[in-house]
Amino acid sequence: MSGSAPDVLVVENLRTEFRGSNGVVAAVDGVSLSVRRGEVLGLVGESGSGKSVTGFSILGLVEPPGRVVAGRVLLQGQDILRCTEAEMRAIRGDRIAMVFQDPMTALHPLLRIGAQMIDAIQAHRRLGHREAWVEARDALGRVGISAPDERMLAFPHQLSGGMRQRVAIAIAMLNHPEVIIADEPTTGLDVTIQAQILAQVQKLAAESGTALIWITHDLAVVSSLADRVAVMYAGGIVEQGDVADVLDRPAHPYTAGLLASSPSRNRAARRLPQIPGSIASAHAAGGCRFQPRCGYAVAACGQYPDLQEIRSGHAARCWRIGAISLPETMEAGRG
Amino acid sequence: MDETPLLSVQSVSKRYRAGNAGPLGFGRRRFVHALDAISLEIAAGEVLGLVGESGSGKSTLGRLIVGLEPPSAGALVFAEGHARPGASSAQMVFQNPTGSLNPRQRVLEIIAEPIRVHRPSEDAVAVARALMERVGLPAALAERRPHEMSGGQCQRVGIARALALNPMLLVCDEPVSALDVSIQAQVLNLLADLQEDTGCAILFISHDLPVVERLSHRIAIMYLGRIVELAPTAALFGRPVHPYTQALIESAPRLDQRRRGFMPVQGEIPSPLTPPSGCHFHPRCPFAMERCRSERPLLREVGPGHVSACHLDP
Repeated sequence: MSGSAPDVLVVENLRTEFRGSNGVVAAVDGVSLSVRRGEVLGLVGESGSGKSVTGFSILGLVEPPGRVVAGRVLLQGQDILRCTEAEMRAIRGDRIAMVFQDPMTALHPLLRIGAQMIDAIQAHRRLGHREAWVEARDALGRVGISAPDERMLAFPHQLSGGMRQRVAIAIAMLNHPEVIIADEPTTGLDVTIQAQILAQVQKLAAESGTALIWITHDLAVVSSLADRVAVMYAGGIVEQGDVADVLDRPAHPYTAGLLASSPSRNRAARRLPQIPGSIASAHAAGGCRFQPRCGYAVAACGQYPDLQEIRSGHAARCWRIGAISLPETMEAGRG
Repeated sequence: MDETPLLSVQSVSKRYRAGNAGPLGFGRRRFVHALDAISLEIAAGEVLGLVGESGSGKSTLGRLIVGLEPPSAGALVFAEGHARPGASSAQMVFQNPTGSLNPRQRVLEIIAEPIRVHRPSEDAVAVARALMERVGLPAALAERRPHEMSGGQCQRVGIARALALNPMLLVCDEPVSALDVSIQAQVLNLLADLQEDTGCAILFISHDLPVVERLSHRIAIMYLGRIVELAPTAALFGRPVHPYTQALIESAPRLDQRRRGFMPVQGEIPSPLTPPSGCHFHPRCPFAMERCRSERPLLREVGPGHVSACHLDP
């Protein structure tokens, strides 16, 4: 969308810690990001990168032993981390909505779809039952559910997985939120259904001006859907920028490695270039967290690098920016 | 090696009881037709990709091939000519890497167990250690239990266990879909290595076309219990004939496509309890004709080794 639209949500230096038997782990460690009106921001990372915890932290949904210990989350300039729980309840579902990976976590199994949607409307707005019913039904129609009048009376278990996720998205859109945070909403769905939902979401975000944070592990989804992307690794953002910049000219070795190992690239090659090792225990590494798996690591990587701007809006957290190239090798090392 | 295929699946059907029809369950018996007269062949050393969405029957076919369940009709024939001494015909690698391992066994026991059972004369522990090395598991993990390892490591254990009896065919059911992208690449490369080194055939079951494309020599596309198209990999992507194959290829998000306007195929996948008449795909097909509603299209040849089940002219 337009690059000049105002920022709706700004996250500054967010830090969320989990206290366990082995000490404290910062699942989110100094994350800063922003999203504009009508913009889709892809938040990409593998398991353990902290992408979901970032989403939960923004919404104030982190549960003990987790705790947001530092940072600011500015919704239209207001720091919502300082809100009371009552104030947050007024904001959640109204100004910021969330869509979860498993729609059954968001839907009540014993209530009809319509009743749940009307509840979601009336929790935030004074609206008669009849008007709320019409709004809810129209919302179902907008996310591509056929025969919405009948579906209003259905129970969640009577719908397919794709349908349920559409209902969850319709509920998120009900009160015209400024921001929607979607956590892997299409991951469990079949590809033809995923394509339908991505198309619908793209259209809805553009029409309503809702800013969207789309959390996913799938760079190909980000490429098709998002305007900007932030790549997370072990609690920190390692690279962010416009989708075209980050995916075509990755500046961080982790982004380059992820792109290279994506099966939809180098389609003719039988083997994929691979990133050695795994993310386990990366949080404990001193200095750059990706260093133990990085082919470019040098002595300087013992220090934690800052995000450095490469071009306008494109930044990476790496000491060796400029040395990184996207591995194009067809036959990368075996095994 | 002779020319007969390693495995021929001959008009195999599988149906499951699914209660009775009617609100009180007194109606006629209902069945889920998971597989509807499937025929295909796998050559020795070949990688056949089997692609479909949920309810397509792809996993059921894999389970029948390794003998976890019997077919309701038809036959699965492993050719005698390919038998290797002491080798089993088919073994399976499962989707859920942790859940398919016994949580109370240690890695070395998990891999050694099939050898102890089927080839008691061999030194199972030594073979298991060699297998661990072959799938890239550090020897230090030998005494670990599944919950002490990552998903990628567990999947390597699952692969080592499947290889323990030196199978002629490895059935891999969504072997990487539970893994992160960087780990996915490691496991896919491992499977490519093993296939080339051991020469075993692989039936690679997945919903993810780009993953299957990389490894497979041929790909079969399934929809609601039937094969709708089967072709050499390059031909399938170069000239997909069946409208469902075209929709699948269109729907997969691609890295080189930015903010594209999706043109998704419409509609939901129908329930296998009440599959549509005629061609199962006709309610979602943009080209459906009257004939598609009534008459089941049979697989017919549209190119060398390329068959498609569609009434449209190719």
